[in-house]
Amino acid sequence: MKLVIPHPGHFLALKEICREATREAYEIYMAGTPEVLGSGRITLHAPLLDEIEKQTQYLHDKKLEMGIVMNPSCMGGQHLTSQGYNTFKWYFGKLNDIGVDSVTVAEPYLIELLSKEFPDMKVVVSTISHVDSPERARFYIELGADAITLDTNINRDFGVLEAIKDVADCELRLLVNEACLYKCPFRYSHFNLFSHMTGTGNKPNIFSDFYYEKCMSFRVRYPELVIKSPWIRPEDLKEYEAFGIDCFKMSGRANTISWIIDVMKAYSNRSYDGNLMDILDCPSELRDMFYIPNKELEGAIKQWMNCKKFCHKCGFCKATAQKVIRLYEFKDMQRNTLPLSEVQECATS
Amino acid sequence: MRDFVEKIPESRGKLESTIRKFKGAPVYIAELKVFGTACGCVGMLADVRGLQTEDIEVYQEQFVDVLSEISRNLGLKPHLLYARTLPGSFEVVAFTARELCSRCRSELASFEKPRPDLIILHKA
Repeated sequence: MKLVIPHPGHFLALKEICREATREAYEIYMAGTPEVLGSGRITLHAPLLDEIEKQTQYLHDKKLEMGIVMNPSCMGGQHLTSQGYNTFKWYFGKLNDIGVDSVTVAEPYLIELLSKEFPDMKVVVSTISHVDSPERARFYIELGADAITLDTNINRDFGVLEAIKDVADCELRLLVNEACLYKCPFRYSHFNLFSHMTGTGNKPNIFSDFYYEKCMSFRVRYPELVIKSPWIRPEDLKEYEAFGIDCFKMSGRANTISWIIDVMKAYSNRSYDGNLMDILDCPSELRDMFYIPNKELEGAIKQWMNCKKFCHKCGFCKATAQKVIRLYEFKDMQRNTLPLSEVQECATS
Repeated sequence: MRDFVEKIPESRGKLESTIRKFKGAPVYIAELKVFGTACGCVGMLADVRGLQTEDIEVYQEQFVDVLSEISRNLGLKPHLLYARTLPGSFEVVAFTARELCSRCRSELASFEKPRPDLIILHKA
């Protein structure tokens, strides 16, 4: 098993992550320089090239690889201008000279550019490219991809995963704990928003992150969505390794150092005895609302391995939510948990 | 002073559990803050997840009751209780109980709907 570990970007974080790095840790990834290219997610640190160089050297000394993620879903066409091409080619050239091991991008043009101009660096397709079928995987391989981070929406679609594995002669990565909503209606729009918020040019002065607020609210109102979201439990990694996918990427580069280390250990140990919410990235705001004992989800993967994704006919995730999800309640300066059903049955009006 | 500080998480928990009880569904109060603004207002603000504008219509009386009680318990005498929505959306994202300065009294309490994103629950 190979683990790809998130890194918030500042050197202190890298040192701490490396100090605790497990045997399974393989690549550490961080955002690139936002003055050059944005990202699909929140970026907390803006490393310049000399800092990337120092951190890359540090990782190499520890026998770990450095990945730079520059995966905006929208670049406003800048990449197809002469100025954009020259800028990106110059920047990727610098990363190549520094010795960066991989660059993750979502834009198909950049995949081909990287592959053609910098064959020494591994070109990784971002999950934001939504590779969800053998055909799409083949397109990206044709463009020059060395690795593909698959669309998380197929994390529990074993038929499709196996079919992609059949056609892909490159490394396949699964994002295990992103835990976005399954078939999220906001996914493309939210990535586009982040792309513009983190990138160059005029940043929109937004009054709110509508997609995030809505995402959290949906989960609060329909807790079964937390179960349906396509995370992979540490205990279930073996089901993927069984047909040859053994590279697992952790999400969470906007989280704290200790959170990242805890999640790395959970996946390295292939076991986590605690609140599942504590190791999921996207809905982490709700970890003080939901308590989901991870060990009580043992065996659910067998259902998901054969799931047809017709939730309206199946009801397994909804029933599982009713059975395992508990809600935190704060009273008399203490935190207790209540079964979800108790809250849903207690309407007084 | 410590007693007051401890009232804040208690108030957050009480607001959350009371809403869950009358709505009969999960609701999350992510954070409750007691604030003082530069203009001179003081008050309490609760960030909420899981409520929509129709909940305000159905349970307005209950929201007023619980927000009034919690405000009193925190030593506030709010002139105005209101919910804030995301502009253009059904999502309710915050409740505020506010003792208004003279300027905000004129700006926020003079009209039934002073801003499109605010739902006035109660005026003292």
